[in-house]
Amino acid sequence: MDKKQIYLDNAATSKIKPASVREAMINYYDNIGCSPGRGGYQQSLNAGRILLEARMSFCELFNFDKPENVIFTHNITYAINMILKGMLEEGDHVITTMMEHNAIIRPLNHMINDLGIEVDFVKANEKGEVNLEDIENVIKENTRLIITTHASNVTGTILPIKEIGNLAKKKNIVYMVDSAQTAGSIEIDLKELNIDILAFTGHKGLYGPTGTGGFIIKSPVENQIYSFIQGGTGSISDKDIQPDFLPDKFESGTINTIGIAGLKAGVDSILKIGIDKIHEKKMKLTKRLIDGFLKNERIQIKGVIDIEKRVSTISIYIENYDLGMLSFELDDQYGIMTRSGLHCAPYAHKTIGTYPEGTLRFSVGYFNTEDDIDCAIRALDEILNTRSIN
Amino acid sequence: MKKIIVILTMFLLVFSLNGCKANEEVEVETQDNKEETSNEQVIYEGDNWSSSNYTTDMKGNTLNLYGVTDKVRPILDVFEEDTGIKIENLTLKNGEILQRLKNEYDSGVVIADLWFTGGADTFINAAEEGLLLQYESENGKMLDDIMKDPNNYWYGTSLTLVNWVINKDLIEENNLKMPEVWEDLLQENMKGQVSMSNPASSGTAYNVVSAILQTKGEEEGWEYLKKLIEQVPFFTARGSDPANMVVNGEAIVGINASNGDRELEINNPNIKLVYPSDGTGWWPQPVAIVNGTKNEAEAKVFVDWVISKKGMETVAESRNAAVARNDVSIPEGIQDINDIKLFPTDFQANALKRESILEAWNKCVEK
Repeated sequence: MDKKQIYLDNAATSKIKPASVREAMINYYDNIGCSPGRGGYQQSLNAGRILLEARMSFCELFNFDKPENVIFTHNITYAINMILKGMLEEGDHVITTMMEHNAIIRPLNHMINDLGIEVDFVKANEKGEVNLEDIENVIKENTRLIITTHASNVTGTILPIKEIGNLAKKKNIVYMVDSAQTAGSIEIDLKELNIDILAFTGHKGLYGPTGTGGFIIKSPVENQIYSFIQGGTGSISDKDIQPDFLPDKFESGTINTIGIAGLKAGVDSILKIGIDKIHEKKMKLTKRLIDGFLKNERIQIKGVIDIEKRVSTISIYIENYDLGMLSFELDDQYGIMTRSGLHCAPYAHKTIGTYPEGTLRFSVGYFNTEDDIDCAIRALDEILNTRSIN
Repeated sequence: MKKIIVILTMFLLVFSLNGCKANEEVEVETQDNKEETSNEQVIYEGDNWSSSNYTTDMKGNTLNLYGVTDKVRPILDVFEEDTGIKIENLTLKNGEILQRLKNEYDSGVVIADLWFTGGADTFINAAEEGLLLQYESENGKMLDDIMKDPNNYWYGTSLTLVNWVINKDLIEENNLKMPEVWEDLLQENMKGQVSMSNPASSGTAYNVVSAILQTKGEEEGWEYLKKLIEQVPFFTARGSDPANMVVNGEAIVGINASNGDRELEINNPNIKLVYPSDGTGWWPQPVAIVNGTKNEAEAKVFVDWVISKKGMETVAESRNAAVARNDVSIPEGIQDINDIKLFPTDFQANALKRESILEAWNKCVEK
């Protein structure tokens, strides 16, 4: 008999997607299948229409007016790399935080060594909270970019992106936000927020398939970004240089159209359900999980408790316990999927005092149920009650 | 205390050769040990189950069973407790089972002995193609005609009922009338908000389409279905998708198949389950013997057992569902079919017209 599977690793990817995502991808595969922008025949136009409509859906979700400024890439790591490497030059200064994912840490460290840029990694407190003043204090004349995550993929702590954006605008610095943990889960209003570039991943809270991501860039910031990758765009093919208009400037080669078809359906589902309802349900379940953990004295929650200041990713730590083994036991005995270790964010673990062993991460999704949460709490209690300290 | 009733049946050779028979039944109580002769039919009677095919030396024998759900496993375990006959089950999709039975029959290597659970129309197709064995079980007499095949190829067990899963919050938010009859799904503001699976891949959806055509008649039926198609944004691949979509707020009404329980309502305060008052689709989960089985007697024992009172009680309890026998009580919380209106359904016609109905359906969807 099948063991019940409870997926609590939504910070890694949303395993369960709306039914419309699969249908949209099957529809592309069965009925379209052509390359967008590469022909005047109907099915190529239909493929191009998918991309345009997807850009429009993104505009609706993020309250933005220019669909052409929505750029699709292979994933958010590509999007971040395209901006960093297309924008920064020797001697430029960048401000980021200690709560970032390796998608930001690694390219920046590479560019420190390879290109000679300067980077300040602003510290956070042990709960993952970043102080705005600490960012302001490291701004220099040559600071060209501030790049932060919207919420930590380790502690779930939300960073003050509104205040950082206001600061960046005041100082005339480009501000880029990594929304991997928040897009589709928390409202991000690009008209209200002073974010110049919003990088997104397609396969997490936006419910698209893997291999999708991108960024939204506010004009005229794109003029500061060199097109890191050049190639065929299906436009002005008589010219042998990269077009400078959007989105073609940043979209060389055939787009993952089947993936974007699925991603569009995912974003449309969010619009249909309502992001406020999605957020409300996820945070209600998150609170239930936190309350369950708080009842067990051996479990330490790493990060803020207040659900107003966090997303649905919860890291826990248990003294003298092999968390990798605990994650294995949860899966093996109860079918509960979690992630242990450093979560590609070593600096965050140094900040919260869990380096190098890491934490055990539970991340709740919209498709989880109260029963999933109660099973997880019960399972963890059972395992901890039957195992002595290592 | 089990007893064996020996029914001595006298066959007259001349009648037997002509396909007719005259029976003289004499009931004789005996001990467990019995002697069989060529003209004796022996009915083994256990607690609330009986079989004219069972002998205690079948203990330890194994049958292979195909079905569409793992949830039959507890039923098979109780059967083993009662008879000592083991059953290995393999779970496949409806269409896969049909294809597999064809392949096995054509190759002469028949692996499955039994088929238990799936769409009644698929069983009918299998019978049409000679893949099932006719078997008139004595216990089948307890089933109403609608619950079994007229030619004794299959017998119904648990019942599947079509219902609507409705998101109450979205009904209120969109100022919609709570649907009661099929026509209510055509409300203007419900466009794009009705979720239904694809009748080509989902038994639930096909059952609804064919039942509506049978109930309303071809002309009026297609007129209604064309309007219904307009309300559905896309047809899902899996029968379970519509209910999930409604629970998650992606649709307002989902056409769903259930065993008659109210779990979705209990677990989700925003959900209401509705059985349309002008009738709804339904079908029995059949059981049949595979033609070419090398364990015919044991397979017959299973059919005898599963449609006996004990078997049906086990099915009702394990599957938490209403069953085809009227003398088995409905599990708590399960919809009593006497309180709702079921579409009068001709399963034979459903099966035989399947291809032409789906072809016409696809034309409507493509428009």
